[in-house]
Amino acid sequence: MSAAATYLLAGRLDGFTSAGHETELKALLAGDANSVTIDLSQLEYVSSAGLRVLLMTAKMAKAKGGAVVLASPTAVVLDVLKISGFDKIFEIRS
Amino acid sequence: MSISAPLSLTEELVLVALNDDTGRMIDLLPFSLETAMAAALIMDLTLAGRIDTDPERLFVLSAAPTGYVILDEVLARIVAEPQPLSSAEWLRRLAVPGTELQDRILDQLVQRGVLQSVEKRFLWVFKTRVYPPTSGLEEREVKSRVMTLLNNTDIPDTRDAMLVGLLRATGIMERLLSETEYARLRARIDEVSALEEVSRALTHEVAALYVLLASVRLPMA
Repeated sequence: MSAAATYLLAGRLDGFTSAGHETELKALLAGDANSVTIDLSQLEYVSSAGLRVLLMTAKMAKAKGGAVVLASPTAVVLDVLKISGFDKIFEIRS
Repeated sequence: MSISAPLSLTEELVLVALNDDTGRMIDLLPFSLETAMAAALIMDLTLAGRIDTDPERLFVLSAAPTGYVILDEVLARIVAEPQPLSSAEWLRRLAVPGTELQDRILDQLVQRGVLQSVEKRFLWVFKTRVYPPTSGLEEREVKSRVMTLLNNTDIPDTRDAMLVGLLRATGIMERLLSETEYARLRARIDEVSALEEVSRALTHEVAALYVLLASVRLPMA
């Protein structure tokens, strides 16, 4: 069975916070869900380590036949996503 | 670092930059390999969870030693810096002209049994050292990983994306592929290279080197 889950990322996603989010996102995809919509509307900052968590999640979802959608990124976060070419890998919903 | 520890990205870069037939480093744009080795050290520290970056700065997550002597020297320098600097600035600081770092990495690869160290004579007089592969297994594995990544549409592992960025920026990627293959895979190479901030900083630094060298080589008007 496949299902879509949602996950809220708020505040900062960097090397100090990424491990906790990575664990939670892995747990989501280890269950029934094969797709995740990650709500970025309250995310203020993302670093390289944070971007890697998103990539890892997308890789896991793809392996289960699903996908990750990045929803409502703030302008600052959207800039970082575009600079990194993440708009070519992820569906980004404004 | 134990002899059996996995190869670092810096070691993999130097290994691929070595000509198997001659045991010497392949000719690259001057100073590009030094800059790429600096980027590889930063990437290795990133993979070890010691540092993180964003487009403006590189910052320390943990000052705990990694067990790799060269990496720990770089980490100590970063930790000692009072203000966070950008990745680009660290590339400039860590990219030391000359072969000292390269020689240390080559020695490490010899100690691990990946390369042999052979002394040769040039023009019957001058001594020179070459580094033929012991079995070539490690280099083939690295190249195979890169080719697999480029020839599919999978989301890349961070480490492999970093390696592609290093090989692209130095021009080594163009040596690994035929002209036709390079043209066919160019978009994928660019896409994968862009994923990592340090790769983008490296690309920018090497591009600036090209401009500088071109300006030096141009005849005076």
